[in-house]
This record gives sequence, structure tokens and C-alpha cells, in this order.
Amino acid sequence: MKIKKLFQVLVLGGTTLGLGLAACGGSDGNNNGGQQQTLPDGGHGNPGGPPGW
Amino acid sequence: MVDEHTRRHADRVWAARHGVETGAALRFGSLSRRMLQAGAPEALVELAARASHDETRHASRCADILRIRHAEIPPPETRLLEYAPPTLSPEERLTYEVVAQSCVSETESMATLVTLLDEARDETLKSVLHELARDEVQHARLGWGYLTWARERMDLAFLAPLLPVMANGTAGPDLFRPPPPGTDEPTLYQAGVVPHSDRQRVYLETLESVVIPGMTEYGVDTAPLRQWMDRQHAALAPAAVGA
Repeated sequence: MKIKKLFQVLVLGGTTLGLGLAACGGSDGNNNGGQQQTLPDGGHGNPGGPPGW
Repeated sequence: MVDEHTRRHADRVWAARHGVETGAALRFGSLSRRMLQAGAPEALVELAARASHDETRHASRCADILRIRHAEIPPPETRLLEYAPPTLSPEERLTYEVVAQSCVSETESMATLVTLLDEARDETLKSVLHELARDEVQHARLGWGYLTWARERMDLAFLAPLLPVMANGTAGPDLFRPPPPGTDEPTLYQAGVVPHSDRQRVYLETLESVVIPGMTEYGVDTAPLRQWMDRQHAALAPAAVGA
């Protein structure tokens, strides 16, 4: 598979998933985005985002 | 013939992946709980919970590879790492974490897996890569699906200046530096590792052809991310000229 094709598989595939869910009800949450967890700066000198492969 | 630098580098990469997977298991578990609290669709909540279990299984596959390589298996990541700036609202922090994990990190991991699958010959390695790729598709889609839900509830413009921060964090401190000895050998592909120069190319190509058009679909300004990419390209240019 070529990397360019990942746009279709991941982005459009995910968007389709999300659109399909839009018609469904949400979970019974309190809409506050959840509780902040520990180590807000990443905590290991690699702030910004999780490492990948 | 694989030299010692190259063999050790491959061992280190698989050990690091073990940490990536155990850390991702904790993060997806947390994201699932936070999505539930935020009222996200149950299917997304369940997808994140399933991703957490997947990542634990992936870590065991990395451990299998390390055993085959007679390399040490590191202890699992036990810290729940969060990356969102604390100045963001709770809703924005959740969105940041989902985007950083799924739209950037998992999307980049898929590109790495796709690249490795094109090169792998060993049947055990191919089997592991296939298994992980099947799951990672869902882990990346989770982020884009979440944005479809979130865009109806919040302004996603806040992500624009933060995309380079995410991209920089996922790249890590060494990706756009010159390759240390043993890290840029084509033989690494047969150990399931992308050589350093190809990693740089794959990383930027994935941002260019997947993440940027994806964020554009969601109305997020990608100019800051493009500027970050331009700086990485410029940093690589002298090395390419000297090659």
C-alpha cells in the first residue's frame, strides 16, 4: 500500500465512521472532556505527542 | 552481513516499540474513559477501549520479536502520559490527546508499518506486521471519527498552532538529526526497522499526504504545520547535498 492511499483508508474511513455515529446517541457523559490525568507535560522530555513506530 | 551497530539499533527500536505499545495501552484506556465522560458516541468509547487491549497484545508481539533476537525485554511503561497544554479547556485537552494519539502518532505508525510490509520477507515478521497494521487502521480512524463528532460541538481552530508541537513530539528528538552509525543500513528492513533516512522521508510524506489533507477536511489551518515541515526539510537539505 502506498502512503498516499492512507488518506483514503484512515481519514476518509474515520470520517465515515464518525458520520455513521452522528445519527446514534452519545454516551451518558457530563460533557466536561474528562478529568485531567497525571504528568501533563508528557513527563519524559518528549512533550507534544506520543512516540510512534 | 549485519554489523554490531545495526543489530543493536534494531534491538533498541523493538525495545522502544514495546514501550510505545504499553504506553499507548494506558493512553487509550484513559481516552476511552474521558470520551465516555464527555458524552462521545458509545462506539468511539468502545473503539478506544478495544485499542487499549490491542496495544497490550502488540507489546507482547514486540516482546516475542525481542526474544527471537535474544534481546532484553524492557519493563512496560507504567506512567499515563498526557501531552495537552494545561491552558486548554477540558474539552480541548481531550481533543488534543485524541488528535496527538490517533491522527498523528497512529497515522504515522501506519505509514511505518506499510513501509515495512513492502520490504519484509521473514514470515514471522510479516505475520506480526500484518496483525499490527490491521489494528492500527482502527486506532487511527478513531481520531478522525472523533473529530467528526467533535467539530459539531467545538471550534477546532485551536489545533492549528498545536499541530507542529504534536508532530515534533511524535518525531522525537533524533529523527531529523544525522543518522548515528548503524541506523541507516538497508539491511534494517529485514529486522523490521525502517532505516533513518527513509524514516525521515516517510514521516514528512505522511504529514504531507495524510495529516495535512485530513486536518484541512476538518477546517484546521495547516500553515503552522507546513512551516514546521519546511524547517525539517531545510535541516535535511545539506545532508542530502553532501550525500
